[in-house]
Amino acid sequence: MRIRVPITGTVKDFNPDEFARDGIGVYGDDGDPIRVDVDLGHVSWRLVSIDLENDEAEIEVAPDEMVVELRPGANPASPKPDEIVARPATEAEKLARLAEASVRAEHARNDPSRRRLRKLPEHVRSFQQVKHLRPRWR
Amino acid sequence: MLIKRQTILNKKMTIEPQQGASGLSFGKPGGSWGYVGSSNCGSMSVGAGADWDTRTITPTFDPNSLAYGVASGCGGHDQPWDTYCFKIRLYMGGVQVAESGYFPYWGDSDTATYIRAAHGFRALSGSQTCKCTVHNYDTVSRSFCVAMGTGSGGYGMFCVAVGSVKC
Repeated sequence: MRIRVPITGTVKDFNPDEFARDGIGVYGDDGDPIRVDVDLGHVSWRLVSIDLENDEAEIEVAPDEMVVELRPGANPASPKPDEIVARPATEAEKLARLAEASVRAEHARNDPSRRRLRKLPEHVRSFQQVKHLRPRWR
Repeated sequence: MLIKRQTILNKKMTIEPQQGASGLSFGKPGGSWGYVGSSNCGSMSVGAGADWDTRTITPTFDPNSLAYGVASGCGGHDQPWDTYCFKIRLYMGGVQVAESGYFPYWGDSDTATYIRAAHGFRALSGSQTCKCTVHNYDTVSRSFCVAMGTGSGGYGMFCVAVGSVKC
């Protein structure tokens, strides 16, 4: 599932040719990298593209495959190691994890106090000129 | 139709990619940390909302390179079993390109699934830093348990690997 999430960090450079190839094209400062500082829960993700106008990224999200839980009768406050077990997540649980990630992302996008990207106007102008070139295969 | 098909078959295919840059770093993470007693794990305190840089490489990419990277780590947390705060992040060229799921509770010996990985790809050129970090999403500092294997040799496995093709 693809969702949009806010990004933060400092833009060091934008390469239009590389954007046309990968949909990203941007380089961040190693001391303040461009990143997604939103905990999306029990999912993993990979970056698909970056939107320098809106300070957002499009990411492909996948749910964690395992669920960790206690055996029946275990004390939740201090379970023994063999009372903590893992099992494959059901399809319903995977869908719930994706839905929760989507809600968390939407909440973060609408947060007025969120930290924006630090970038130069020329980075945005350059992005606006080539944003229609985003590769469709991504 | 037959002629058309034969024409296509006779065309010389030139889509084979050329090899590009690559890099690999694995082993014990950097920074100041140590064993926890005589157990087979080390411990590192990671600040609230902070990244702990575990492995870094700086390959040089040709222009027009498309790079694929993977970052992985082996460990867990020593908080209550249902606490979730640590994830692996992969950075390439100063941009986070992927993130893993949560690391599990270290004492969760039944599942033995301490490895978490993140992978992604992007276009890169020039000398670029690629790194694997452990991120703490909690609002307070948390201790990350580094899986060391047994014995004093230990492994402390964190890894970042990148390969690229010119296209």
